Amino acid sequence: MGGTVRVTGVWKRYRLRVRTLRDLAVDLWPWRRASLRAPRRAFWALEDVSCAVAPGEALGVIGANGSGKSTLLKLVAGIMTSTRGSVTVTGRLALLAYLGAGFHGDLTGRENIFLQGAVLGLKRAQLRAKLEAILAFAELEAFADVPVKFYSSGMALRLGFAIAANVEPEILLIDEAFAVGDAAFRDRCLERIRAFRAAGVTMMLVSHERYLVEQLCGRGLLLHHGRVTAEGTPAEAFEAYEQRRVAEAVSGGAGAPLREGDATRAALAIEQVELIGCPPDAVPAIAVDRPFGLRIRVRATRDVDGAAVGVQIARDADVFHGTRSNRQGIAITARVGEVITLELEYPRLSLMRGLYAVHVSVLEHALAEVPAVALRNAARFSVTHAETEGVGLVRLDHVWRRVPGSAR
Amino acid sequence: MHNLARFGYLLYQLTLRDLKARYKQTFLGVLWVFGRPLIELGVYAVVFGAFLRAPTNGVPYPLFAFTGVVLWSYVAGGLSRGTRSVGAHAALVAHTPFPKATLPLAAQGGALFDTLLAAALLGVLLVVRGGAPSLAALWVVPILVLLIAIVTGLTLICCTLNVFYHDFGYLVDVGVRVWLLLTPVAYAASVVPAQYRVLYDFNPLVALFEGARSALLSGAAPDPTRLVYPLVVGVGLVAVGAVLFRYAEPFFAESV
Repeated sequence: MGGTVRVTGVWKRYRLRVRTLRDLAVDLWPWRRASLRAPRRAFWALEDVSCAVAPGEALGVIGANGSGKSTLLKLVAGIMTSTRGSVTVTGRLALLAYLGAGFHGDLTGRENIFLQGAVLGLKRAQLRAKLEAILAFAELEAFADVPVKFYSSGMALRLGFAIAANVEPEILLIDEAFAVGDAAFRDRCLERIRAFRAAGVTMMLVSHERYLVEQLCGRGLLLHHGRVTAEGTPAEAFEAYEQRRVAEAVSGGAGAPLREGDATRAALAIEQVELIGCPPDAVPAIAVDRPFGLRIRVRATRDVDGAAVGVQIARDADVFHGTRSNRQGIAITARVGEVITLELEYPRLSLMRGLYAVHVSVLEHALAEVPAVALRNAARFSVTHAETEGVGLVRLDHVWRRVPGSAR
Repeated sequence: MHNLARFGYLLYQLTLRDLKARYKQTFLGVLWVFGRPLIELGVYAVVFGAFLRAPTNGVPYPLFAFTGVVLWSYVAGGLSRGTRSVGAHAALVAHTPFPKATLPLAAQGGALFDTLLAAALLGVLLVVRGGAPSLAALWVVPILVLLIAIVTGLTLICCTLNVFYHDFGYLVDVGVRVWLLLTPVAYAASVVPAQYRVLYDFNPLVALFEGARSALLSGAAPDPTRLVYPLVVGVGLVAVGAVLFRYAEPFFAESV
């Protein structure tokens, strides 16, 4: 059974100020003067947001950090109330976010289950019946009577998820941060979420992980600075998200080149990084089936023997490919002042559509693990392709064909 | 009805947690419930009983003062713990939808539990002292109800203000100390000179503490008309506190 969520013309304003007794005195003072008050800074986290989730439907809410995703989720969860507009929710809610926020360190796991269960609205009999299942799902049977302060953060998280997932929700609200545990537990959480989905539980998932949203959701909603800027399939919403990111990258702003490491001690200085065939400082769109090349110019700041240059292709924090020149036998040996130019060519980029950054680093010798200097976001490009997108992290080359005469 | 049951169970769990957490943390555990009022009693017995020779209407001073100390332990505990209860559970308040009123009320429950344990000790002392237990002693029940109403109403108000004005709790701490000295805890209200008595009686706890003493120690029923004023104050504070808390509750999550 799935519940419904209806958000109609919702606005949410935060007032950013810490008030103290001084402000209380001013508030109560009959001849109050505006100048005595703490500066009142307000900002609108959500502006005229509307969306609806039908029974059994799953909506992915995406957007950059600070776009209002979590605020929307908190409004639907009933943690906060909207400044204007209405939020209507029918059905029992479970919130998979901030797991373990209400735990008390001095109480045992078992005691915290009863406490947290009561907070989530469960009755004593229900909790008794579910106690074993919760402990088993969290794999904490052996630690049920240990105070939670002795739990690792992963254990606390597991317990939090196990409790929240056992309230038999009709609406599941998920913040991406839920999946912080180890890989095995994350998989089990996802499995549980998929089981809810299959059972027709209504879902709202806040994330900017494309893979996760496309896996779990039937619809996507893009928030940008608190406004809905796209709505459709998850792929459509993410396309709009990527386009906006590319547009912002082109117009400057975030993702500017960033030098790391002590340049005075590095043997090589990174002088220039360019995408072959592209004007400098542009964010070119690279077709997926075209060759892609980088030209890197470094200068020796002293005599070097056997240094290497590394390149990473990354999106956000995820490195999709990393390589270093000495792996293919190119070690840099040079006299002070000499300029060396390297080229790196990818015959084709097997990447999904989106905005990518190139990080370049200098490694002092063949076995160096930590770069001496690095130039993050040395270049940026976006990947385009003509075909309708598949799902996944990378786009592996593939060909579909039908075997002739196989029809029956 | 379902919501009320949920509220009740949550309140029970939070009170339990409040008590368990406190008694697990402290070395002496439950003994501390008796230790604290007994230490206070010792100080009062020396200062007010021995040094100042406070009049007690013929009751042994320790018994006289302990009655006040036990009642006061609820006022101080409920008010100061309740005021900070929402802030102390900031993570819970900011991230979970639940009726927030359970937090200050659970603090009342915790403080009341301590007070009742100390009251049991007081009961033992009264039995040891001897004398037929008087039916008048039952007056402590309505008196305690009025005390709970006054403290709970005040806590709801202070708790709400403490969410929005982060240092309000300090003001409450000072207020509790001043209130203690202006309440007949360690001395009898009869020592207050007549010209100050009208002002002194504005404190609704005066009638309650004097009434409880007379019921428990002298076996005399308190004058019911004296309890009207505390009743009016109690009902008024609960009403104002409940309205204020309800009005402010939706803004707690973003303000803690």
